[in-house]
Amino acid sequence: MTADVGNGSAVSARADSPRRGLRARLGRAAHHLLALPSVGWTVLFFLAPLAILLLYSFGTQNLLTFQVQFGWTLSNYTGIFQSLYIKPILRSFELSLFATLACLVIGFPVAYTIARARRRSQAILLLMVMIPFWTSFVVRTYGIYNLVSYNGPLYQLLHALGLVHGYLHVLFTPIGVGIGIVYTYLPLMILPLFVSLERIDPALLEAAPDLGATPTRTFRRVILPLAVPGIFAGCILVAIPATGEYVIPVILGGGKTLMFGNVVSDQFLNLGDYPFGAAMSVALTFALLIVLMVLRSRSYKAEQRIT
Amino acid sequence: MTELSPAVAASGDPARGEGRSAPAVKLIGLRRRYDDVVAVDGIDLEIGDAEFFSLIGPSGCGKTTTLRMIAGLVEPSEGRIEVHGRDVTTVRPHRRPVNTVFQQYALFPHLSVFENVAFGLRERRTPKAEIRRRVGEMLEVVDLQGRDRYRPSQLSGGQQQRVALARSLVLDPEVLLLDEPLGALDLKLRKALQLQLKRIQHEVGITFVYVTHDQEEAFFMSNRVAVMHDGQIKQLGTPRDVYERPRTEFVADFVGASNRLDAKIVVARDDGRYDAEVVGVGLVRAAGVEGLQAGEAVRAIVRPEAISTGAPQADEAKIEARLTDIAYLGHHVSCVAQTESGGQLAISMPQAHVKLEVGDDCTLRWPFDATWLLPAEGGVAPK
Amino acid sequence: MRLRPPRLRSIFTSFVMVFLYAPIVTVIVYSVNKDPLLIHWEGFTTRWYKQAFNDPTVRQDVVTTLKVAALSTAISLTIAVTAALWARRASHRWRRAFDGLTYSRIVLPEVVFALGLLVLLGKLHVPFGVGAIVLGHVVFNSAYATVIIQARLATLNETLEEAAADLGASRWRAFRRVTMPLLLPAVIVAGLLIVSFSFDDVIVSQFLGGNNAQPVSVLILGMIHLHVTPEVNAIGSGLMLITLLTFSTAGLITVLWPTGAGQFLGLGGRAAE
Repeated sequence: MTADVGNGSAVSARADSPRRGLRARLGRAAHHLLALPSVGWTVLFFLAPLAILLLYSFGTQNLLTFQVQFGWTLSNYTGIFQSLYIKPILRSFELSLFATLACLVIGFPVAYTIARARRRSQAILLLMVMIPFWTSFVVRTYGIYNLVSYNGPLYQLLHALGLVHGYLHVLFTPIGVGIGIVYTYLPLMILPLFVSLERIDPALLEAAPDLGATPTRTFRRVILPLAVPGIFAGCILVAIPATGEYVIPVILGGGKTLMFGNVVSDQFLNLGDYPFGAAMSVALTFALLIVLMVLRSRSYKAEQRIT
Repeated sequence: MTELSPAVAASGDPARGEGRSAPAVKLIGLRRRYDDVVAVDGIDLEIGDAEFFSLIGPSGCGKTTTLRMIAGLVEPSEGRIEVHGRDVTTVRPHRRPVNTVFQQYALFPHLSVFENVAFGLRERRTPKAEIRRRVGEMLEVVDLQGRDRYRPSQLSGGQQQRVALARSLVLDPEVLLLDEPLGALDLKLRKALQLQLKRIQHEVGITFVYVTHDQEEAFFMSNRVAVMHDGQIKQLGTPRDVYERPRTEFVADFVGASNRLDAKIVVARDDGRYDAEVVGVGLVRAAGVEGLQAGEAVRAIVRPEAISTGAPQADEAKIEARLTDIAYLGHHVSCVAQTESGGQLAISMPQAHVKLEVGDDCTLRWPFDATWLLPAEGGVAPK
Repeated sequence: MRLRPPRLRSIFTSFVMVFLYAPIVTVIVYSVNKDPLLIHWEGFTTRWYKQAFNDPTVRQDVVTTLKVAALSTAISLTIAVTAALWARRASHRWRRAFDGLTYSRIVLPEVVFALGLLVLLGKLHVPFGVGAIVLGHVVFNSAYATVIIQARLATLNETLEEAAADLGASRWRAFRRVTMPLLLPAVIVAGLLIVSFSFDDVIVSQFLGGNNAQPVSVLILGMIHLHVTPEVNAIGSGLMLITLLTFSTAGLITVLWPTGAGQFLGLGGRAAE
């Protein structure tokens, strides 16, 4: 069988084209040179650091001299589970999970409202959701700090409603951090949800009640299943980065090491225990990778079922 | 240097302008492989000056790949390419004296019509005044004067195609290559542009090498055509040659509808014709591909427009059949008839001649001369 | 529709919108509050902005931020364009590996590789400062830029470059006259985006800044710990405005720049024949 491969361009030579002498070979080599900046930089400043962490994670450290011995031990890894840090680490995952769910619960109605809005309103609403996201992340987090501080606006409001007395004990607690995470990542949940919900054919929403479904049932049997890809996408966009959050716990959590990122950096910056810190970093990365792969395969299957 | 194949040597009417000694384009033993797929399988070809030459064939036959090899956009696996005697096989595309009009025009969207046409001239560092003059002239030739400030996106499909043409012609190429340039246009526009292309080629006097899968289009514009299949040239000749004297069943089918009847050669006569026994018809004296032997199984080809109804004459073949379908197509009527031996014949007749209805039995007839004999399978390969 | 009564949903959505903007509003309001302790509203003032503007630390940090952003953007864009051009013609296998590398730079938590870089640079005795920060920024910035530019490059038909070659342009000239102009909007958008990311980055900037280099984002982080003054809010408002402007410009360019890439397919049909 022959193929009229009209696109077999030799403007840049391909791997299977015939060798027409030295010039062609040089041309191909020169082309691969284009990859050098990117690959070079990635290897030197991305892969090498990760490799070093991996290396350190198997080493041991003399606590007095801070000299690191590069042995091959798993003690750092097993040490994670036995240490004091297991609590904040688990809390990290908890917090991320809670934040993701909160984003989902809060974001879903908003996304649905936007999806059902008129075209013009849709554009405006989406813009309104995106604009906070376009302002500085650090400053926004600081804004939450302002908001939930001991006698800040939120306190004033709740105090006026008679719900709180004394001062507001939210800042520097996990709750504060949770609020910060939800606030920061909410747009990232709303957008994919909106995309999924917007695709739902309005005719379906009229057909269901026509066939006798109550609003709750319409929601459960029609809307929810069709929104699943968006739900997965949103969860991935929130849960994965949120677990590795550093800045939000620093600003809203005070000096305490509340989340995984803080625990890890603490090892390096304050305690100087590189091997242990490295092991925790590697463990964190792996945990996230696994979550990511699971979510993506689930999401892929869900997408298959719909289309 | 390979011998020219008999098909090329025997191709009837050679190009005009045999003044120059070297042909405009010469392909020698051209081959192109992709892993284990052979896209172009040995092409030998000579195209003359000021000739409008078409490569036709179904999708995947290798015609576009061949064209792109001439342009230099694809490297041949084997073989040589010469333009006016000069070996350009290893010359990079931007240095070849050939230009291409692409299937989707490939106009630069960020440049105006003027800048598009001037592109190649700017690459040659032509002085500004001369650029202005030559671009202006070329836009007149393609009938787009006054639109030089437009962007491609503001033009219709037909206009874009003409800009692409102007862009290539302004560089005075020795050969112009056209890769199915009219494919994206509607029928009426296509016909109008075919006429324009023919006129422009005649005016400018450059060799055009045109690739298309539309046989009618190629026939309308070309001096000669080459029918390609599976990477090879199956037949090369003037449109008339190819239509009336196809060398293989494939070629016969590709250039037009045809009826095929099984037959066997009885006698190969001295005058070049044959006596053949045609199934359902009887003994027929007809012309055919040369070299057929007595006793050889062949096919008899009859074009639908050669068949009519009514009383058979002395020098006509006849066959009994029953009409199973009649379709009115405007300028003619297309019928299908079933023969006693179970075969089907397609007939094409002017409206006035049709006096029958579906289900009628009738005698179909055609002149012996309108029969053409060729080998039963594949046919004689051009090499 | 039928999910919940529309009014309830609309009210809920409004509350969420308020929630999204409230923190931003507090920062702006606090930045103009006369009360230095931010307990009561004592009137409008631009004093804090003036104070921030004249503060030498702030000025130095702004310069640092600009240096880092400029360097990191220039390097990231170069990396992204060359990488995208290579990837277009790369074989399937290499392409997959390359995409994996790009993707992982975006997905991996910044903390992890920032710490790794900290250790690596420490071992190599590379001094911390603007240079070190740029090294880190480029890692993730180039990934974002690569994705954006690759997406744009994919919409450009290769036939355009073939046409340029056919008309006499060498590969370099074809790149300069055809590919680069068509890539330009994507390059600008990518540039604006990564400038914002640079301005806003805290983790790499803090870990690798050392004693000498402190971008504004790290400054804000520090000031939060030390003392709460309106000045922080003023600086914060300034930073918000800048990032908002760069993102908005990027957004506008994406929407308004005439793409031109797909129009040559003869599907225009605008003018009459």
